[in-house]
Amino acid sequence: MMMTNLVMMMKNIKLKLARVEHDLSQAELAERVGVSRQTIGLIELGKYNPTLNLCLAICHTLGKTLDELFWEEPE
Amino acid sequence: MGLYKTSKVEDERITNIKNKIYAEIYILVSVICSISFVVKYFIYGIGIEVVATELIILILSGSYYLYRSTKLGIYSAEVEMHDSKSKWPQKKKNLYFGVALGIGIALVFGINSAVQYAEGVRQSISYFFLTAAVSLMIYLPFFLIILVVGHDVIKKRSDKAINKILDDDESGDDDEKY
Repeated sequence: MMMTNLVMMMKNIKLKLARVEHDLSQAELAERVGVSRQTIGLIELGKYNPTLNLCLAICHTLGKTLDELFWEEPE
Repeated sequence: MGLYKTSKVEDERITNIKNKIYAEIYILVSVICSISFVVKYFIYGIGIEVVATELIILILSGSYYLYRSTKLGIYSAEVEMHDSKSKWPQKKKNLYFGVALGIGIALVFGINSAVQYAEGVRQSISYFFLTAAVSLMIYLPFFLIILVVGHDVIKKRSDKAINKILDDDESGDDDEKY
């Protein structure tokens, strides 16, 4: 997967849905991943580009793959 | 057909390493200023005009970091992260640190006064307690206001700043499960 496609300019609805599926609040997900609540909020809003390590940590916590949460088709 | 390749992607590795170097430079400048401060104290003695430049560099750079971290909402995130990991909340730490700093400075001034200006043991003791008590009355509230009240004010402003950024979410969901 190219890093280009990890760059998010739009809201990450997939992440939000996966979080809701696990019945987690932003704060709860943040605590499990080891980041601040604000960081999760900004990722969901597409206002912060997480590193690959953070993407992986979120994926592992939510039991999803990178594709399922962060993949976007090239324009 | 372009002669130059255009890419939206920045080289994160270079940016991150540059940022790391800038952070190291900040620490280096702070250390150099602190060493200069101490050396000048021993060479020229106490005098604000002698160490004004060093003080300005240290205070302004620290204030700028505080201002930017508040404006960008990083301060409250840092406090939240700290409080979730540490046994002692940041506010409590600031309170104890402020008290310790106030008592420490009062003791230093008390001892300095007793050693420098008093003659005889009785006068030394009275000078020590008098100077220490006055210093404590001045510096203890000063540090408590700066560290505890200042922390509260900055955290509130930082909360406001990050909530404003997060409020952009149309659904209004900033910490809800649904």
